[in-house]
Amino acid sequence: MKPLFSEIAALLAFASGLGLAVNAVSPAGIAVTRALPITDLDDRYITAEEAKARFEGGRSVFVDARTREEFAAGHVEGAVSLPLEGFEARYAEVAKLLPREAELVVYCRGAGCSESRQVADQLQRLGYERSRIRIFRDGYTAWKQRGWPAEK
Amino acid sequence: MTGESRIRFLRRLGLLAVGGVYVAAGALKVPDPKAFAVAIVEYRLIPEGLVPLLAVVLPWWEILAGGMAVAGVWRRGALALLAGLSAAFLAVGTVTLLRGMSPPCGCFGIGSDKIGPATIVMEASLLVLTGALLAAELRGKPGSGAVGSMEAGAGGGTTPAARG
Repeated sequence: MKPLFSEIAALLAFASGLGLAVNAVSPAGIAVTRALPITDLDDRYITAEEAKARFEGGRSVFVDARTREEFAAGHVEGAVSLPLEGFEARYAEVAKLLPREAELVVYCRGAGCSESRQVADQLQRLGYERSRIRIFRDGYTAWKQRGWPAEK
Repeated sequence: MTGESRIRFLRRLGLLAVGGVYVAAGALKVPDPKAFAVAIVEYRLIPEGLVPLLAVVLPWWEILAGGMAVAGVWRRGALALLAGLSAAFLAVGTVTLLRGMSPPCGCFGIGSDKIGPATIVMEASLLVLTGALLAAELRGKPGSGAVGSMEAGAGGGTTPAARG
């Protein structure tokens, strides 16, 4: 057993060292010695305040990635429902509401959900520019808690 | 083909499959550690302080262990590490599904499907296959050397330490 554990330990050490070395010289490398907030890891993420500023600016289209039932129960005023489930069929229905020159702000329930990022990824695959897609990380929960404009 | 050579052939196939899957999985994550870190964050199981480090080193564990399992260098250690990774991925996927979450798997870098029953089946299959290959190695039956050059296989040791 001892040689087995030695092999595993050596392999882990060597591979980790290699990974850290590659990361240190790679243009895509990241800082490994501190926690990175998700807004640093993915530049599409925006805070609640940034989402509100975009809402007030009136040039961004809010995209609700939650289920239709959740959307019906309440959503950001003027948001377009585009759930992850059945994305393609629904996109065909709402494509006209999502012009490519507009900035899209995608949200779901809050920091514990990932549908907003997945819908953002799908939109990018459809050709929307990454720089025009924003993900409102704290989502509808934060929007509602702050009493910002919502509708059913 | 005799029974023994058939078993040897199946072992080679198994090693190529397991090693190949892990090398591919690791290689697809290396170019974009940020995207992989985001995928890890979305599982909400790992302390955020550890996420960047894990995003940088884990793909290399997969690449090296997968490659060494195929090449026959430290094969026991490589297979044991791959079995451990498979078990960890299976546990993480199962817990995530049980919590009602379905983040993107992140298994093969950007664009991976979201976690679902298919992911669990894939991880469980990998664990079973890797476990079987490791068990064969530990019994001392299989051969050493790279998959393409495995011959009689006596001795089973794949490292100087194991042989000595």
